[in-house]
Amino acid sequence: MARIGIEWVVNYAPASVNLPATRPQAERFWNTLSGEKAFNFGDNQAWDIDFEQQGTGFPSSGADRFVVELADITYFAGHGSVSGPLFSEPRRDDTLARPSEMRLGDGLANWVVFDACEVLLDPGVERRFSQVFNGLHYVLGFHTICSDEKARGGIFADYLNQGDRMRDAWRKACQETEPFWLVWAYIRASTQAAETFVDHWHGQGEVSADPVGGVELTYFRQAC
Amino acid sequence: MADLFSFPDVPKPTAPLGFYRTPIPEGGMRRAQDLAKRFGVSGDVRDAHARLVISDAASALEVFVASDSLRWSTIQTLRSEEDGAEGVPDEEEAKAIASDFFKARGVSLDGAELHSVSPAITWRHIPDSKDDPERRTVSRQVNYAYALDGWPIFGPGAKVQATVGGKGRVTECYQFWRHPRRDGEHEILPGDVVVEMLRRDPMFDGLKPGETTITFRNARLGYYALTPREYQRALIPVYAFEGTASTPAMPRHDFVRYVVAVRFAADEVKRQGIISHAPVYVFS
Repeated sequence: MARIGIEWVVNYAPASVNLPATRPQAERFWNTLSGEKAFNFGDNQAWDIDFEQQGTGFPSSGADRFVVELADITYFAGHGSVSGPLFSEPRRDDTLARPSEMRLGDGLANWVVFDACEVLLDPGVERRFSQVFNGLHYVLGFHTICSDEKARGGIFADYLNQGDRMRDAWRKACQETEPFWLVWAYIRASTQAAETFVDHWHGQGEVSADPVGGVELTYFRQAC
Repeated sequence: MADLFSFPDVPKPTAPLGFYRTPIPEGGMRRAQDLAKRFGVSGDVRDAHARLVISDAASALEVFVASDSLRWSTIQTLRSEEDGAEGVPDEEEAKAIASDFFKARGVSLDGAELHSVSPAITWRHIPDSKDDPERRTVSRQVNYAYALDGWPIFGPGAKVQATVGGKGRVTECYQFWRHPRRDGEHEILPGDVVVEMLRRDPMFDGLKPGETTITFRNARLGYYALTPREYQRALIPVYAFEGTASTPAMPRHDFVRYVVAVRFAADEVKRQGIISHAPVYVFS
């Protein structure tokens, strides 16, 4: 059975403003999507190193193999920026999961959602994410800011359960939860042997093989 | 002590705001079948909980049970981001195509105004390549916004969009909307009360004056429409505040915060069935 993980941060103060809706947003995803629940870490239990590869960046304390690599899909809800998703627990690393410190997909991880502002802001995303895909299929998120709202995770999971492709489920969930002046986005990896455009949630349709070796990145963004 | 907050002038309506009920639509099955005919989709109606869905090999129509909303799409049949993207029309052509598309299918845009046209962009890139990826517009989204009595309707539940792709083909459209029926008026809360509600918003708990600033700007009055899946029996009058938070760790965080602009007691919300869960007075 495919495994599901979520991380969320409500309490950011004093580092930034709090985001009261991130927990229900992520937990609705967790409670709606069919599959085995792998992890649910929030606030000071959610760490940037959970997404980072050991030995990359500074501090090089990445521990993705104990967390994100143990789930097929991980949904993060919290603050973000072009520098990456932001966490609030400073005792583990620097609170920022920088794409330059991520090498995702060498475990179970196929899809990661950063429901956070501007993590996929284009241009420049091709350089920021050039090293991230190590078997990972998709990173889904936003080109612009996004709202702190409760519904999107559950709606996204509902579409995945009903057999929509990963990209279609994200598009429809974003359309239903944001005004049109905000822009959803994704970046995905593919190879000749692994065309991830077709990806569905496990058990709901076709899922590509893991794209490894000579990957091509494809980016897409569209108004909500 | 330094104040965390700075606020703009809050608009003061010269007259009370209309109270608009948005009754839950009836006859969903009939509505879905009628729309399927107009959009040329054939097949049985499938109950997908929040939506009624009719689909065939070419397209899918979704009719939302809780609101007067629909989405029609062929995008799920595309085989790549660039599939069918040859010859995307310019913005002016896209506007005309979208308008004709809705007219031909009898989708009323009463109350909606053309707002903007946005491009959908894609690119492909080999990670080690030094070249910048070539960005390509694969469709244009023609966006319409709703207003009532001149007041904007915020939120995801009041908007219309058509996606115009290659050769001017419309590949998707949605209309997220609830038909409003005027039923009295609201006294709007004065600006100073609204500002006080924002100051008490838990979003700003724990921030340190002196090292953090919260700058609100461009306060607007209007209504709020929830996601088209949500049961919402009246449009909620709100003030929309654009704001920027600045802390040493996060120098710029832009956000929009909505504050309910009328005095709704919790029991009043329940009795009137305005929304289906406990009210929140300040939200994103």
